[in-house]
Order: sequence, then C-alpha cells, then structure tokens
Amino acid sequence: MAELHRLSLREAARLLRARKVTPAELDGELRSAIARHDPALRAYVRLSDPADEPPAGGPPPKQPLWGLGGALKANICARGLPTDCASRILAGWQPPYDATAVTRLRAAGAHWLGLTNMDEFGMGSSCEHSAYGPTRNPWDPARTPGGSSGGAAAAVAADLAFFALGSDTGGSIRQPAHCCGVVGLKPTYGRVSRYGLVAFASSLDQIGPLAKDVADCALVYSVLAGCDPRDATSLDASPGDPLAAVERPAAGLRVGVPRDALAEGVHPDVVADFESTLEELQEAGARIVEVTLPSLSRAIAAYYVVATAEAAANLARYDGVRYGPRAAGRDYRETVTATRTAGFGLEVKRRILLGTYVLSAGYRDAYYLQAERVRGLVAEDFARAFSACDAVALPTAPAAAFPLGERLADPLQMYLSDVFTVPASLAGLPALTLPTGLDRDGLPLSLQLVGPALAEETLFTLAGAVERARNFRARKEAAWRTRR
Amino acid sequence: MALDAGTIRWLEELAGLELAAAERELLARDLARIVAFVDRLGTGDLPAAAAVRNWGPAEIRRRADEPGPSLPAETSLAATADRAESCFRIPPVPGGEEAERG
Amino acid sequence: MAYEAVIGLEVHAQLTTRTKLFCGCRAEFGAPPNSRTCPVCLGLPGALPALNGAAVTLGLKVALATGCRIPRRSLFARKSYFYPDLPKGYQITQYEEPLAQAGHLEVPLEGVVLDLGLARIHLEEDAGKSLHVAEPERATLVDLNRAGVPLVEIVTEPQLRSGRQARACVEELRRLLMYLDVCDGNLYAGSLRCDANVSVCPAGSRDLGAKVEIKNLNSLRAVQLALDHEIARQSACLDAGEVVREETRGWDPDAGRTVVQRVKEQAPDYRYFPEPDLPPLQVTQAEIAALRRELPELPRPRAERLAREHGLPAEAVAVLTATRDLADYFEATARALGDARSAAGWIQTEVLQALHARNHEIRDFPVGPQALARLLALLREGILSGRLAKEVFQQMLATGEEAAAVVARLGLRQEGDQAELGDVVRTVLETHPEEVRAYRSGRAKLLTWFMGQAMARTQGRADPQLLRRILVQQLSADREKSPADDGTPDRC
Repeated sequence: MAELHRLSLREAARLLRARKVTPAELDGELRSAIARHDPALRAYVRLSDPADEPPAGGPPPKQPLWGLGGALKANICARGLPTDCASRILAGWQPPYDATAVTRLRAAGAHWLGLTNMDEFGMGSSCEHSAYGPTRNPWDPARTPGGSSGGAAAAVAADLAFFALGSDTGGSIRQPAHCCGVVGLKPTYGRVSRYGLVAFASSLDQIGPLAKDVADCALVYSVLAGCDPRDATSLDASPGDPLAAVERPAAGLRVGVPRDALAEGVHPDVVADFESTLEELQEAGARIVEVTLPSLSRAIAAYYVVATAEAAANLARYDGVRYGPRAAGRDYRETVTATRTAGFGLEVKRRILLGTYVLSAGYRDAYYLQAERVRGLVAEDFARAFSACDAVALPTAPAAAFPLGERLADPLQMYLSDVFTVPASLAGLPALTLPTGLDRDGLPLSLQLVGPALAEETLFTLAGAVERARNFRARKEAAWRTRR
Repeated sequence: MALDAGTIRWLEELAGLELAAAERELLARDLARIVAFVDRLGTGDLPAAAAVRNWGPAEIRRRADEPGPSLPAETSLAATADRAESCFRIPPVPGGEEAERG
Repeated sequence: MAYEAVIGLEVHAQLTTRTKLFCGCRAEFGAPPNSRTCPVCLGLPGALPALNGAAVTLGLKVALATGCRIPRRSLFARKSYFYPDLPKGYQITQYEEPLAQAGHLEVPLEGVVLDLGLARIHLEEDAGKSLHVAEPERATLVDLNRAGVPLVEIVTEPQLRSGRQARACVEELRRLLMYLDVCDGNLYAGSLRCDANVSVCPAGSRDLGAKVEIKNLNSLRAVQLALDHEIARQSACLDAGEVVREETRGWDPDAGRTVVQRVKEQAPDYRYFPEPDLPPLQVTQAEIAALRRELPELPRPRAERLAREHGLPAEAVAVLTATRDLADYFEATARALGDARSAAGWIQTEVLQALHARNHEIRDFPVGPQALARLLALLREGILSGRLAKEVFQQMLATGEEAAAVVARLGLRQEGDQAELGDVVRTVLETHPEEVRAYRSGRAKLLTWFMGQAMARTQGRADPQLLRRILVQQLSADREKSPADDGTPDRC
C-alpha cells in the first residue's frame, strides 16, 4: 500500500485495527517520507530514534492512538528528546520528566516521530525566529508556515506526521494551521494541562492538536483534555464526546459575526472566502447573527503587554546555573548576563525587555494593570456576544501565508497580524481554525470559530459542517497533484 | 521615561542582558514604536476594581501534605555545566553573603 | 539631642509541614545536597507549582492567633530578582492581597504589656542555600533542598522603640509560633529569621529618619544588641551633622557592630505581579471557624489563667509557660499533686536545671508529671527531706524508677516518725543533763550541739527542721511537764 502517510489519523487507525497494515509499515512510510521531504522543509528539528520510539508490536489493544506517530513541538517535555524550544539557551537539554500531555498520549498508544521547529520560546508568527532557521511552508517554500507552531503545522500538512501537538499563546496553533491548511485547536484555557509545556505566557499558553481534518483533531483533543493536579490552572471538566459532536448537524446553531472588526486591513480574498463559508454554514442550517466586539481594537496591545510581562518572568530561570550552556564570567552576575545575552535570540530579547518595562516601577499601573482591565473587557464583549450566538466566526489572519523575510524588519507589523487570534487567548476561550479554501496564489485560507468556555463540542459541530461543505481535502489533493 | 538607549540599559540590568550598542539602538527604536502602539490601551476609563480573573479555576486547589518522589541528586545535577560536592557550582556572587539578595 | 527610635520587624518562620509549599519534596533538614528536589523546586522548564494545603492551615492559625483580618481571597505574586539559590529567577510570595492583615501581638515586658500591631501575614517559598567557598577557587555552591520550603512572613508595625522591646517581641512571637506547632522556633538553625528596619528621629518630632535594614539577627541576644548599637550609631551620625544613609547592614557579633552590606541608592525593582500559575486562594468563614476551634490555649491567656487560678507570681508563670509542653507538664503535675505552688517551685528549679544539663525537650524528660507529683507528695508528707528529695530525683532521672522504688532501694525512708525522733531527743537530753541545764540558763547556742548529737544517733537521716522543732519543744517543755506527759502531739 503506497502513500500510507497521506492517510488521515483515523483512516490509519481503522487500517491498523483491521490488521490491514502494521505499525511498523506505517512508521516506515512516515519516516521515509520525512527523509525525502523534510530536508527541504525543516519541519522537524530532531527525529526520534526509531529504536527509542518503537511502534507497539502485537495485537492492537483498545488504545485510540495505538501505533500512530505524531510530531511534538520542541517546547513540550518528553524524556529522551531534547526540548530546546528552538533556543540556544537550552541547547542539548533533556528533560528528566514527561509533560502530562505526553503521558496521556503515550497512554493512548501514540509515539513521537520527533520534535518540530518553532519560533524561539513560542515568540513569533512565522517560525523565522528559530535557532535552527525557518521551516518552509509546504504549499510554497518561499513562504512561512506561520508560527510559532510552524514546524508542527508543516509536518501535518506535508503528511510527515498523523497529528502534531503544538502550543498556542496568542494564535500559535491557529495561525500556522491557517498558513498550512490544516486544522488546529486552542482549547479553553485550563482544558489541557500545561505541566511540561515550557512556559511563555502562563495565563495564555495552551497545548493543542494540529491535524489533517476536524475528526482527527477531535480525537487527539479528547485524549489531551483533563484535569491535572500538577497544573493548578487546569479545569476539572469532562471533554464530553468531541468525535460525536463532529457528526452532529449544525442546524439551529447561531454563528455571530463581528463585521466591524473586519472593516480594515483584511485581504479581499480572505473576506471573500470568509463570506462564502458563512453562506455555506447557513445552507447547513446555522443562523448568522451580527455581534460586536468593541474592545478588539485594544486587544493586541493588551496581549503584548500581558504576554511579555509574564514571559519576562518565565524566562528569568534561564541563567546557566542548573541547565543549558553556560557562558564564561568572572562572577555570578557576569555569568548570568553573558549566558542570557548569548543564548537568547533578538525577538526573545525584545519581548523580555518590553515585559520588564511594562512591569517596572512607575509603569506597572499604566501598562500592566491597564492591560488586565482591557483583558476583562474583551472577556465581557465575548460573554455579551454569546448571549446572542453559540460561536463567533472570525478570520484567523488578515491574509494567507506571507513570504519569508517580509515581516522581519518591523516587529510591530508582525504583532499586528495576530489581531484575530489574540482575543480568544485573552478571554481564555476555545478557538478552532480549519481550512476553507485557497487564495489567488493557491495558498490556504481558513475560518476561525471561537466558542464560550468549555464549548469545544459546539466548535467541532460547526467545523464539521464547514469541512463537509467546503471539501478542502479535495481541493488540496488537486492543487498538490499539479505541483508534484 | 523616554525609551532611549539609557532606558534600555536600565532594563537590561533588570533582565540580566547586555546588548551591543547597535542592538541597543535598534531595540530602543522598536520598543518605542511598540510602546506608542500599546499606549492605545488608553487611560483611566476602565473600572478601577482589580481585574477579575476570567480564566482557569476560580479557586486554587490545595494538595495534601503527602511526600512525593524527589529526583535523585544525580538527576537534578545532571544538566549543570559545573558541579562540586553534590552542589551546583557557579562563579562567586560579588560581595559574598547576602550582598545582592533582594 | 535626644532621639527616638522607630523599629519594625520582619520575621520569617519555616512551617512545620512535611512537604514544600509548591511540590511534594520533603521539607526536611539535613538531607544530602540536592536530594530533595524535583522539576518544580529546581525551576526546570515546564514545571508548575501546586499549593500545599497544610501550609495554608498553619498560616491561618497564626493569623487567627493574632486577631488578624482574614479576607475571603488572597493572591500569590511573583517577586523577580536574580540570585543563585532562586531557581526560577523569581520567588512566589504574596504581595497586594496577603493571607491576613491588621493583627496584633501582646508582648509582656517588665511588668507592662506592649500591644504591637502586625501589619500583615503572608505565605511564601524559601530560597535554597548558597555557600561561598574559596578552594580550589572562589566559587558559590548551591544546594536547592531548602528551595520551596514554606515560610510565613510576619511584618510588624514600626512601633518598637528599643532593642529590648524588639527582643521581647521576637521572644513572644517565637513562643506563640511554637505553641501553635507552626514553627520549631530555632533562630540559630534559621527556621526562625528576623530582620529589622530602624530609623531614629529627634524626640517629639514626626520627621521619619532614613530607614536602615538590619539582617543576620540569628539569636535573641543579637536582636537586642544589634538594634541598640544601630540606634546609637544613627544618633551619633545625626549628632555629627551627617546624613544617615538608607542601606542594608548586617550584624557582626564578633565586632559588636553593624556593617554595610548593600547601599540602597535605588530600591530594587521587584516588578511584582499576580502569579498566573496559581488561582486565588479562597478562605471561607466555615474554615476559619473550624480552625479557631482547633487552636490551643494561647500563651498569654494561659499564663494569666495560671497566675489567677493558682496565685502564682508573673515571673513564675512566664517561666512555666515558656513552651506549651512545659505548661502542660506543670499543669499535669499540679493537678496530680494537688499543689500548684510546690510543683511550680520544683519545676522552675530542679526540672529546668536537669532539662538544661541534659539538653532534653520536656517531651522526652524521663520524669513525667505523675512521677514528679508522687515524689513531691513524699516531700510534702515529710517522708523525705528537701535534700533527700533532690537525691531521689537524680536517681529517678538516671534509672527511670519511681520515687517509692528509689526510697525503698536505698532505704532512704526519713526518720520522719515523730515519736521515734521524740525518743531519740529524750535519750539525748537524758544523757546530757549538764548541757540541758546550761541551755535553760541561757546558753542558746547549745541547740546546735544538741542537733549534732541527735543527728548522729539517726545517722544523719533526720529531717533537720523537724528535729529542731522537737528539741526546742522538749528543751522548753520539760521544765513544766510531768514525765508522763511529754507534750509531743499524737502521731498522725
């Protein structure tokens, strides 16, 4: 059976359970595809040793992900893999423990093909701020795959993994999913344990799945979600039955659209695709309603204040004392400074300085406290919107994947492209991105759905309906056939 | 505080960084632009009450005072660049005891 | 120029929990370096804190015992600075919404009670230990066993005026914390730490002087000496027309003075913000009520009650209530014996001496309250003299025997039988009629000689006071009495 790696996660799982294929065969296909395509893409920064991650032998037990290989973003701890967050400051570090998410996936039978590339410590939207250099977009190697989970999204899009785990702080799962034409979910804050996720911004970070379709995404999500006593911010809430939700009809669900938020700066192709997707949702029985989210205009500012403030503190532990390479210095102070200066990339330094600034004496009230209040406003706006609808629809990004190097000179430009993803992060709400079409250059476009807290099932239902209506998979196969 | 090179130097001190002059100029410009943007957060027109956390659990869970496994000292020390007598060893703190502790 | 001192204290007490504040590593003393560490307290990438409920309970007990206001919700916060034994580069503490505020501590001192305000009480994690070495080259060694151990920080209002007051305050606070079983109170080992803020200003002025922070006060004596020294130093400074600098100074006990550690040109910017990894701590009225019921009788109320119930003087009661265990011991002994004064006297002397000599805790003392009571009963009944009772006590300590067993074994039963002693005395007087006549003619000093004679006949075992009484009685009574009625009372 050729091209096994092009199967979806669930298709592969069905074949495994039917004994039509073995884990070794699947894995072999994946690894040889990786060997063929990844050198040009650089989705992976480290491959697991096949001997270390053997697919389970023997008859398939009742584990939903048994025998299936996934990709792990390089900021999620797994024993045996060097979790360096694409940063020099953690070069070679091997965690002595597994992230809870990793433990749960292993218990479900999955194994890791390797670690994927990312923007250093999650700080970026293009995968260009990596000590390894950028990952290329599988749709067009001159473009970024998005970030910071760029490698994870690229690996799934290029069929070099059946699924991937990424992390999302201000859009870092959703935006790469958009750029690469895959499905990505940022769960409700607290749904998935952060224990073992190297922290960027503690009140915003969430681990989430990237997958080839909505049902695959739902499956991985159902394994990930759950309370963890090691993570005090994790919620005690059952994920319900996300897979069943995918199949439920969207009839009767109300989708809110904040049209004023789409007024400026959005590429016409994005707008056109967005509107036609909404029409198809209506045809599937959903109702479109107007909502407003007035605080959206301040959300990016609030995000960059809160996220960098928390990040500045989270990254203070990188001092070369207990782990990571240590630079030379005559005393403790010099050593710490030299280690951090040599180890952090420019974008990370930029954000640490900004975060330090907004918390510093005299500025804390104007910036940090004010950002917290704006954050509260964003949450209120959504709460009000949800009294009129079951989910809010937004674009994921103002345009399709942009060219490598285009936004590096102007960090503010880069930050502004997060305008649609940041609000759900600030409010701790679940948000899902799925591919819906292609722009004039043949690059993927997507829809983002944001739900009330704990309403992932609603998102899966709407996303399922959109996926069935748009049939993106067929469009992708057609587009890639002409390229290959 | 204007976001000039002097401010950046002071922030570097707090953040344990030491930038080259050119980098410092660049970041000063970047940060000035970003902060100008961030100023759109506005001032004072928002409720003064402390922001209510609207994410995660409303109340912290308290764990039982039961000992769990610690890592063996060898594992805890495994990743350090320098060690001695089962301790992490680093160049001396200037001024010795308590000099710089906050 | 006369100056007034303004002193506030910051006390950090290590809580007696089994595990650390945010992880399950044991919070024990003396383990091999870095053997009580885990991803959380090592500050490894990806690790997260999980709050120890027992630490909250102990913190709340302190708050209740000091009459604090305990808000429904409190928050943890990050305090950022770089130091080798601070693994995360920030300490998790409490800042804007602490566990408790506005309490007070009553400090008895020289017959007066100081009512000292407590500004706040909060929980925070301890740092590890840094050891500065010179061989083979200058370096700092870091042991993170202590990193993450729970601390309660108690901040007083700046209402203290002297080293003596500060010392009394620390002493009383220590006593309270130990009564509550919250902390073991060991200043020397560092489970109780005290820093002070001192400033002086001209007497009667409201001009607050520059504040100097004093650290490294690791004994009660150091607290008093360092602060008195610092007050004198600052006063001399002002007298000389100099400005007192805001700085951090450490007490050097050998030099007998405070030494500059760090100049506070700029107060460090800790960039406090609420800890995003920890949701708010909520404390309900029900929890507070339940904890209040669990509180033991606090030291001052207990001391007052003992003074009142047993008519004991304040100094005695202060000694007896120094620790809860000692107070328990005293009350149990007094109850068993039915005589608080006797118990009080004996405990303050013999028992405390023995405790000190053996370096024992009262909890492990070989002579328990019941056993002590039985010994003291023998003393009260006159079966043992005071001197003999002390001998028996030492034997009890050495062998763990009961008093009666020691007495029997050594045949120490005192010649307390009055009839027997009366016979001995009569024999002595009959044997020495010349001396009797001389005594009765006014040579009172002969009493001592008679004492010696009678004592010799009892091999030194007679109770001297009883013997003296009988002698005096017989020496005076014989003049008027007929031989048949020697005037000695019936034996009880």
